[in-house]
Amino acid sequence: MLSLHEKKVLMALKENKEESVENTAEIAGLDEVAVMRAALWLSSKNLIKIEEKTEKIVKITDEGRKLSKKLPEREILRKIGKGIFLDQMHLENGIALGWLKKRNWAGIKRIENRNFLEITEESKNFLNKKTEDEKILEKLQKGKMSLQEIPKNVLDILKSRKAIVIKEKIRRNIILTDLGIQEIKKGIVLKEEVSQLTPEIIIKQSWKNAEFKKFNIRTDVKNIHPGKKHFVNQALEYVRSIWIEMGFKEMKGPIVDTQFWVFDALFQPQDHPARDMQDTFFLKYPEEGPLPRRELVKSVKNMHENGIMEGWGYKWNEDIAKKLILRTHTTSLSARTLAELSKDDIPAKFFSIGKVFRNETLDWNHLAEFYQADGIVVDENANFRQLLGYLKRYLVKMGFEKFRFRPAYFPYTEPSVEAEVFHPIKKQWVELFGAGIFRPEVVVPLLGEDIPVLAWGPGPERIIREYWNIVDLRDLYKNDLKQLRELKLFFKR
Amino acid sequence: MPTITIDKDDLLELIGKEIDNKILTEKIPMMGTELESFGDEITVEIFPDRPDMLSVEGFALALQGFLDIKTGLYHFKSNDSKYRAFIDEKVKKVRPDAVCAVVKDIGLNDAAIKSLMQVQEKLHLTHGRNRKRVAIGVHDLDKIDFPVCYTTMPKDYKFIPLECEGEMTLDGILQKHKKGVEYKHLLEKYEEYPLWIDSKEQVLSMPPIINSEYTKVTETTKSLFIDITGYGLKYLKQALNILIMSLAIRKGKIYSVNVKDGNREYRYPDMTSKKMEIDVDYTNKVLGLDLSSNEISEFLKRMRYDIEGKNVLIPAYRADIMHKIDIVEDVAIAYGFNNFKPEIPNISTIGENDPFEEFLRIIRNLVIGFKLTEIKNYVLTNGEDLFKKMNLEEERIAEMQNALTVEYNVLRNSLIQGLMRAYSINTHYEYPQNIFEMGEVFRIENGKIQEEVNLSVGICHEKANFTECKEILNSFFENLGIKYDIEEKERKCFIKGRAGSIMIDGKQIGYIGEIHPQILSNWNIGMPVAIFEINLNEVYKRV
Repeated sequence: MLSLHEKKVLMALKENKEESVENTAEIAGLDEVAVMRAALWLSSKNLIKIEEKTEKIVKITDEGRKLSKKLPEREILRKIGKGIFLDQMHLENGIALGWLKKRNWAGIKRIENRNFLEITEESKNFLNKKTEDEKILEKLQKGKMSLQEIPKNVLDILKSRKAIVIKEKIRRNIILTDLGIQEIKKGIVLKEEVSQLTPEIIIKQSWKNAEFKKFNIRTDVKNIHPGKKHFVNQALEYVRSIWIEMGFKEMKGPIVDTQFWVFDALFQPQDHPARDMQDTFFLKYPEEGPLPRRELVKSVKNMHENGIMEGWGYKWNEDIAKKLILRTHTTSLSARTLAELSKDDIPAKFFSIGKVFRNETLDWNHLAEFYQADGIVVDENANFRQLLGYLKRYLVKMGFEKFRFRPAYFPYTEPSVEAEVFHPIKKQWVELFGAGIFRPEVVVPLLGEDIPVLAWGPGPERIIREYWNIVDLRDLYKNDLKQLRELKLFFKR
Repeated sequence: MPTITIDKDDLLELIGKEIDNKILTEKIPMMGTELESFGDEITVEIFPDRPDMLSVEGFALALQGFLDIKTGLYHFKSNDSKYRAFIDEKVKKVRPDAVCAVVKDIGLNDAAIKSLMQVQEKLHLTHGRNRKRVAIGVHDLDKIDFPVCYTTMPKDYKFIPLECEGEMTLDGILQKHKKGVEYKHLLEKYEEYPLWIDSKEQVLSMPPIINSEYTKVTETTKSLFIDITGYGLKYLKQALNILIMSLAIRKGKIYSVNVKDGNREYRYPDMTSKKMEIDVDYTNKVLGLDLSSNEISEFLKRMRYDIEGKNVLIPAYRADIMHKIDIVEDVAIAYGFNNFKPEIPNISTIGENDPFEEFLRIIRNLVIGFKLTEIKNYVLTNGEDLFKKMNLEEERIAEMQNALTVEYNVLRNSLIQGLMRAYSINTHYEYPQNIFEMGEVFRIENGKIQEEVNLSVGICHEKANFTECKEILNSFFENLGIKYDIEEKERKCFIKGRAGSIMIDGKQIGYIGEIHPQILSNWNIGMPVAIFEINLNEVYKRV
């Protein structure tokens, strides 16, 4: 398939088999750029050859233009009639004087001991006739000439008067090959060519008599960016889908919460190191929040002081429980959910996804704000093996192949378990998240009786980090637009 | 969580058997301790519920059982003695409780001394709540003339503290001694400070700060007097029992001390085992297993319990057994977490997203349709960004009391500042930069925090303006089937005459405007920005 331009170029070469690009352009009625582009395509198909020749070109200078308008020796010739005494001439005419002599238009004679410039017979021929060099200058004003077109003596004159410059130019000739000749012989039909399809072409159906211009479909195009969810949110949606698939219902609750829900309801003694100022953001304003129904508060207090069989043995302080903090885990939501659950709701399964906080200085491995996805199963028949069952399912869905469960400690679960995955590069087990069965001391005040509650709280950040190979945790929330635009989408089978 | 270091040779000697490294590295993490590093020195992390394993001896004891080398309760004799101690009424208001014991013929080798120092330090830190709840003093028994007395003395009372040249007053110790400065917050508020003094008025220690030079333990020390003071006898006894167990394993001979506290008299150490009935059904139900009573007994022995009829005898050094569930966990550990077969039960429950979350997901999808890139900022921020850089009046917002960095010491009450921040760090990337954020904001209403979710959309390119921003807003509400209005309303961060409130049913639920060039300069942004922000909780009420 030949494009319209290619066809036109071939047709232009039909007569002479070889033409310069300029001539081809003229014959084909195209501009030179279009001809060259078509010629390159044709040569790639071996229909033509492009031959390059270096040519010397003569161009007129500004000085040349001046001379062409007003040749100094000619000016003088006009002014002085038959001649003039040199001492009557202005000095600036020195150059013109030289040229008058060189051209043999005047000579010097001694008259009464003075130099007299006398016009020659020769000069009269040129009063109304241009010299060869003047003629060439005139021609050059219209356009450049090749070096060969100008006689040597004229060239020397113009060069010495700085009226011209000589430059090298590459000249391209297009030569028809045998294959090209055959192609022409087959007959070339010129058809209109469509580049951008327009409504007009469609409506008028003019495409029927036209050909579609072939595009270089492998050429690079401009980068564009889709509207896109933040990659962390993409991963969180996936985590959500895992729990939904397993029949879990979402629970929601406050980020700023009382210590009651974050710690006390989870049987963490008030002097427990985990409740220390260092780890937890305490609120300066507002400082306190409301406690739940009276009997629940009393029951939690009793549990801390006396336990079921044995308590922590200290005096529980309601004022501490009222203090507002940024939740350090979303397990506070599990506690809140259990407190609202009625017997008829059981068995029940819940999950939550939300932000949690640690009062830490940010570095590559620590954030003050990150996500946790809690889950609980409340069922009379729930047991430790089932806990491991849910965790296993989650780990498999997260794409981990080698994992293990080992004993762990959390103040509110017993037994407690840590899910670990084998890191293929570090060649060691790394902690992924904690889980367990809520202690009876946690469950009894919230539910009114001891029903097994399986619980876990994976933080998705580590998984997110591994999926996108993000070393510095801060890069998760730096909002670098290049990163946000170009990161691949989250997808796990 | 605390870690301890253990000399491997010492450990194997205590266990009494050569054990393959591979088995050690596999088993230690499955015992309920975390293996941090393994070599000639082993570092393990001890969970806070097992302070007894903070001693190398206690760890060895547990491992010996877990590996089934020697199981059951560890027995040793506590000899009666005539050693007496008194607790003075005066000290009851300051640091009320004290227990003590005597250990003779200790013959401590290097490893044992290291372990004794380590367990003291770690018990102070964790179980002792950094000496507040429990503080331990270990003394050379032979220097002490019994009976000893736990009392208080005025601040100008003097003695020579450990590793010091001369006498110092009690107050001087708090102000100048390194340990005094570190722990003075525990005593400062009292008139007099606690002291252990013997019958010749020699000072043994000033709990919980420092021991005296006089009773210092050296390489030649043969016998020890141990004092423990603090709050809550339970914790003190646990600490004492852990130390006594450790020293007994090192072949020390244990002697009791009679402690008179007011009208009551106690004999320490009290190594009596608590008893708890073994609940076979409960154990099987919780674990999802079908173990016989014998099997459970065997597993418990491996965890160093003894069985007496239907009861389990709990080692006196265990501090964590509060409920029968704690016994069940030990059965699980002995059974081996590896050996449980995970299963998902067949119970029917219905999966369900929170409806508001579902709504947010739909909103997010809609907004993405406008070719916007989602950004995500922290909810913690600072007043400079929220107000000053936006030329906005300061409002009451939720503030932190103890944030480590001033950059993150308040909770945001709107999102546009986060968008501005994003624009300010992305000026080298190609435009248009059309972005959005959806996230929690925290407003104060009547002194209470309202947590809500806002949406903010920003457009930024050479020709960004109010009109384009309003086009998005229009389409947004059209797609939700909600009618809205824009009311002219100035806001200092916007160009005058190009700002308004977004209204639904006469209620303001957001605002829209072209950012004022001065604000753009504040953020070093060299491109026009138009923004709207709306409260999605309000929108949710109307869909």
